[in-house]
Amino acid sequence: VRDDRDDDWLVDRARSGSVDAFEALARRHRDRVYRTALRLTGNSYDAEDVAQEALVQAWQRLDTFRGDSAFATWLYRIVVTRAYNVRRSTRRMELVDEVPETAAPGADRVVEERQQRHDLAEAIAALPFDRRAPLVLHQFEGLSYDEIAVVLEVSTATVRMRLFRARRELADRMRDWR
Amino acid sequence: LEVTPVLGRAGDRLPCGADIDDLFEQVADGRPPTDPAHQQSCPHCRAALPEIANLWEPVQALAAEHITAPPGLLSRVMTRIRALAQDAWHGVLVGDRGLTRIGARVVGSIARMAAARVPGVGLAIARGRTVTSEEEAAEERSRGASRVGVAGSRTVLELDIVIRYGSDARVLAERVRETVIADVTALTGLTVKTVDITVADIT
Repeated sequence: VRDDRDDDWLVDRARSGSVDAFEALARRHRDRVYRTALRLTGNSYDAEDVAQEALVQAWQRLDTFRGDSAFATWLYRIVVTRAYNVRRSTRRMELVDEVPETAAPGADRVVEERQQRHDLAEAIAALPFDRRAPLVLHQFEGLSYDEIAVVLEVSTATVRMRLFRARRELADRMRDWR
Repeated sequence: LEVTPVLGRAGDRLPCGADIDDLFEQVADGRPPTDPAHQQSCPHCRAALPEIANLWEPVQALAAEHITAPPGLLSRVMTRIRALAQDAWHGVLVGDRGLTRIGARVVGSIARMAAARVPGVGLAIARGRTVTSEEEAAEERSRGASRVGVAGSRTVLELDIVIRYGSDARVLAERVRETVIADVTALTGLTVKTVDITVADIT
């Protein structure tokens, strides 16, 4: 709550033209913006693009933020929209090589775990967007169903149903790996 | 590993009637069971819960990863925003081969000279400013649209004029408005959205 109040204070100042106030806001929220973008897109290249565009857009649209939700909630909506619009880039294919080959003792397990995380991130990014967004916001960002409903502008019941489906689909994929 | 039949289709239930999606939610969210007494004793639930937990564990491990924004993200964002904030002081024309910035003072000078050319106007003082994205957004909102136009290419002009005795102030103001819009448009390419005229004095 205190964080939200600080945000409101900074938003007020940023709206009246203070770039420094916006920088403080961006610094406070950059990790969550990037993390959400990363889970939604599944790769760091697109995630950085989405995060950068989302923050610039937040500055440009700051006057449309009315304060009836938390600044973070409003920002999530921008990130989700940007991520939805991203055309999955061909660069993401390079990520296949991101897992380093190594022969060090005990490295097999490390490589395997890293590979598993990578595959899972890919599987999440491959979910249909209407299920991916609530899953990421809930499971990775810790938003409540009600908060997600505000971000995605759907009902809480819809959020819950989409999460059910997202969990099922992801579990199906993960079971295939065993 | 053998594939357990626990996870069937959406809406499936365990033989005891427990909703599998419900159990999934319980595991994924770490929330208490809706029916603790049943779960305590039901063999189906007791078999299914650890299976779901096991299946879901990689997701929780991934969620526990500490992710931070890449270094340089903030500075790249702020460089762009500072450039945008700078543009608010100018009229900006976006062309294929680059931006043309026109200082508000330039627009003001053109407007002042145009106004002074109109017969009946003694003196004119002008202030030009570009329409801020805030105003544009408010305007778009009132129209029920969500798109914000290209910021900075539209100009609002405020003019103070002194008129000669015997002129019709309203007719003169309209003539000034037309002349100013024509000149600013012709000489800068900016779109003049509004010209607010104050008849400040009469000589």
